[in-house]
Amino acid sequence: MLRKLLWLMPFVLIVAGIGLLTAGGGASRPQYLIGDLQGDWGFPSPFGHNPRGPGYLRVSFLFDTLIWKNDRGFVPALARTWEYQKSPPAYVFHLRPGVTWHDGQPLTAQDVAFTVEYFKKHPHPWVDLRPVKQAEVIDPQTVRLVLSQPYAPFLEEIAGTMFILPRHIWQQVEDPRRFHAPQATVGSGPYKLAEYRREHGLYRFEAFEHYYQGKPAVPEISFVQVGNGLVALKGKAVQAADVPPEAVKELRGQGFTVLVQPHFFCLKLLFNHRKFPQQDLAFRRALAHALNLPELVDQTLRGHGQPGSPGLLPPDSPWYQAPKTTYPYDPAAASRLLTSLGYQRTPQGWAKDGQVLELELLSGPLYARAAEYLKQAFQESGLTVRLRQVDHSILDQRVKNQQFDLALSGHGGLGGDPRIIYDMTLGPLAAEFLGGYQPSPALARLLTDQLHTLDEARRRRLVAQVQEQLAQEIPSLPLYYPTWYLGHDGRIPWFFTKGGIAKGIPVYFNKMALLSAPAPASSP
Amino acid sequence: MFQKKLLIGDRGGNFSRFGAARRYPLVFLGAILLAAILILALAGPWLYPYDPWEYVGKPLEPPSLAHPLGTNDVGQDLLAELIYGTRTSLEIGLAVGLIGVLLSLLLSLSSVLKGGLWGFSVMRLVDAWLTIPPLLLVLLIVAFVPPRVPVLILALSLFSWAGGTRILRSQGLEIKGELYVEAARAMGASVPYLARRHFLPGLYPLIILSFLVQTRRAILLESSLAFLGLADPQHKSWGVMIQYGMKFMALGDYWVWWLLPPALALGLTLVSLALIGFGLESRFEPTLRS
Amino acid sequence: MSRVLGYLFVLIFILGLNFALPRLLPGDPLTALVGEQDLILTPEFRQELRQRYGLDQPLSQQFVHYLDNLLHGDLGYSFYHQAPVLTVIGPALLWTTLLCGVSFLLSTGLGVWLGVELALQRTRSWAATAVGFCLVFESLPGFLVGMALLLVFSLKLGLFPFFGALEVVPRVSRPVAFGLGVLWHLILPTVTLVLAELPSVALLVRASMLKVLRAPFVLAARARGLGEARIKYRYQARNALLPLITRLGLRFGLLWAVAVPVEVVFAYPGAGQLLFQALLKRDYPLIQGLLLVSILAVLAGNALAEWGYRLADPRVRSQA
Repeated sequence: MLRKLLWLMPFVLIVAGIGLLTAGGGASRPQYLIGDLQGDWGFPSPFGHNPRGPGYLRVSFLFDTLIWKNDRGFVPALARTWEYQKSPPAYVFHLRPGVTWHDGQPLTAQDVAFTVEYFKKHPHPWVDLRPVKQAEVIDPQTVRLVLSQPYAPFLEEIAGTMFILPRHIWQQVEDPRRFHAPQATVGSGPYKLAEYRREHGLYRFEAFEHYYQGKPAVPEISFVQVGNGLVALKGKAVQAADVPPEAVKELRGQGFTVLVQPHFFCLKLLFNHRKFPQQDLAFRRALAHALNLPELVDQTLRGHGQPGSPGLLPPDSPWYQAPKTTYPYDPAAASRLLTSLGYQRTPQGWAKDGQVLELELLSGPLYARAAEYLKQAFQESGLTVRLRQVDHSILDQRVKNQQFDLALSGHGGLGGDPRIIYDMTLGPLAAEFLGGYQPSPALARLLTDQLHTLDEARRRRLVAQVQEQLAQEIPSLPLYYPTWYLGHDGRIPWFFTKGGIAKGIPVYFNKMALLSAPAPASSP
Repeated sequence: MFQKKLLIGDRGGNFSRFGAARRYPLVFLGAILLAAILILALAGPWLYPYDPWEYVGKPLEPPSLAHPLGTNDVGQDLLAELIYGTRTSLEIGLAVGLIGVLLSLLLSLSSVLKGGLWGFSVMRLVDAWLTIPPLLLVLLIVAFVPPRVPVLILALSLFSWAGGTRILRSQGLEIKGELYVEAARAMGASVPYLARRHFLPGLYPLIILSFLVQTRRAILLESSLAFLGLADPQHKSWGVMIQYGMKFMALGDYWVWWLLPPALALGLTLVSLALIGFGLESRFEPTLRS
Repeated sequence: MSRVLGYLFVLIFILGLNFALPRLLPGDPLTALVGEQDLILTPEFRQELRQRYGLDQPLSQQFVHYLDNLLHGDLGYSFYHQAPVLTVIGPALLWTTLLCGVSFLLSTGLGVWLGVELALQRTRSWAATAVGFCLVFESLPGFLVGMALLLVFSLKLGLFPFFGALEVVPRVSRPVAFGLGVLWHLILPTVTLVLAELPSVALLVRASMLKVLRAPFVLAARARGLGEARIKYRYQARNALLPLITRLGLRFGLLWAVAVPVEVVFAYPGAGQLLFQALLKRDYPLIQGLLLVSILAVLAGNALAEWGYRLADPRVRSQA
């Protein structure tokens, strides 16, 4: 008898527990959870977060910048208005009065000036302050940032990305990366940090009552790690998560809202420009013609993607211009180009001087399927390609050291300022992104010019020319832009930030969607 | 001559084929299952027309006459993946089992026959080695050394010799104590002769048992590794199928033909090996399970 | 003493392996220390790292440096998490310890009880089926069982959560709710692990009980007129348990290993899930640190269990 009771005990406890839990849950505020597959993106302070986009994103809820973006363009944030002075090139920002930090201290121009100096002293992967010569405090609500030369991406990359730090907290901090005390999360943003659990990837944000744009309409918002976004969303364990494309119809049928993420990520075929025949333009063009990009998208992405544009920028980018030079699937053209290089088609493949052409294609595990497709496609046009799958870090290494023939590599950031093309082609990361490619003088000049052209119309023309040039030279071949989907329960009006959040983070979670009142009209 | 101990579970006597089947139902059942899976692995690629690497259909097709298990997320036939995955797992498992048994035999026999410091240190090594959790160390290795099939076989073999060595050695010691062995040694029999004539026959059942156990553990480890993403990308594997299938678990009924078949295949293979092992074991002696 | 030497050998082997493996990676050894964040580092920072880790020094010096770091609790720095490895591992290890601890206790306790009953009632019909079930579950991988449970109870029936170890409710709730939330999240992973471990415990206990059943001392106890329950537990079970106790340490180690894929299935934020994520991102310092800590913990557990066994078993004690 006693034994039977002992057996019943655990069940009773569990049922009681579930009952208590649901009862307890009802009394508290409704929660909003955003599910993320990776979970932990670092400690949520301006220097503690993981350098990649999602790390920055989480901190953006706690810290505000001078200006921000909504779905149409720049909007005021900490700065009420701003203007540009031609000589010396400088931006003057007029801050809003009455802004306080989470701990109650007032925010002044001193904090902005301090932030600029601090970021200059402690380089941050997201904010490159080299174009800024100095910051001058004109009065407690006005600050002037003087540049060394006209810098077109300034508004987006610096004013719209640099988190303003509270001077009274950070001026004593010598090692900002290891500063993980609670004060490190004190910012001027709409939310305060309520809880951070690294192993759960849990970031719990509570609304900041004295936020200068008014208390946010959503009292609490959290990020948490999930094993399967779709499962968690359908099971109502989270309210927003990335979902696989196949689930879109079913989710919409069940009343969920599914948003399409603009295509800012690109998978590219890299060539080793130190080797022959990759360094020959005709060869690269032959390979481009040998690929049926729409079919690649159909086969490897189940149709959820867009074929790559040889000008690199995707059609969703505000700077996109369709290049006139294109490479449609044309095996005959590919054959012609290869023949022009001196190759002859033999039963074993393309051969020159008795040597059959054979190349090795490096790929990481993520793009295994695309690599398989490419191998087969090239095989059909007579080109022998060996597949080799390595870790992503090893792949990056080998690309950097130019120990490869062909490689598959992907990256994002294509929605933001076109400066990224400059960085990729001429900057220090060029070796990784383009495999040792030396841009033609024309291209180099175009890229540098667009960086310093402030007239938007003129800059747009220059960037269009850059894309045309890239299409002609194809230093790397953009293969596709995958389509990603976000599913959510419709409670929050998430919108897509024009060009991506801050420097181009292609996610929907712009903190402005959480505020009650819409932001006022933007300044010039 | 065997060491035969009459114990619970020993049904001795008649060894006719059907008599044996009736007397060892577990072994019989396990053997049937294993045979079925072996046939699938060996004959499958010839009988079934599709290559698992080819894009033979549209992605995520449900089962049909053309594709009995449908297609995966890029249009490859799932049944073909299952068949080739069977080959991979069995290849690796059997290879590791074989290597393990050979190594155990070598080490145990040498430890028993040579004795002395060598025997002693082998046993200490075995005891210490058995304390290492295999999955964790293999994970450590394949995190750094890319998991190609030969690497997997080698890494898994690292943990397949210790258990067998201990069992074989203890049985070997018993055989050594037998009068006829002492006599043979007194008459100057060489080590290989002793090994062949006297020890091996007595060790056969344990060798087979050990082989089964190690093969089973190797298949289990290999599929766990594959599930965690550490598999040879050029070979299809059950664990990888299960991992991909999990991603689509919440999507309608995909899990029925994507997740269930490899899970069943894996489960049945392991269970069949366990059944045969258990049946053979209860025939000989429970305490041998050490 | 020889056992201690054995453990020492294993320890040195593992430490050596842990040290050598990253350096076997092709290319820049810095990759092993930094993982996938390679792209983000500036050349100056890279040089600083090189100096800090002493990559220019001879290998033997590096090894000494490495051992020294370990003794000070420095397991390396995870650039992905922007924190020392030990800090990242800490909370995850706690959750895994909770999960494995509870599962271990339950599977051992229930397993012993089941094994004893199976042996004593071996003639009943249910015993054969139960042994069959035990065989099946013993050979099934833990993650398959876990997936089945997740599919049925979480997905289809919606009774249990899909991820996490606790309920993400606003802090206003009471600590009781917190505890119950933890329990709720713990149930399915625990059941999975128990189903993975219990069968082997039961079968082992059953096997050794069968040997003990007819032992002379039992006959003597019966002759003295002792009650059945007393005989069952104080005499038979206690002796039958010895083989189980010798393997306690081993069992715990195996449980830890099985917990890795199971945590992944349930997205339970323990050391297993952390390891899986670290493997995906090739966060080498974290992978190394985690595996080292796990293996060492298991070794320590084994050593403790063995020492405990020597204390407990008077026969061994008298020999020593």
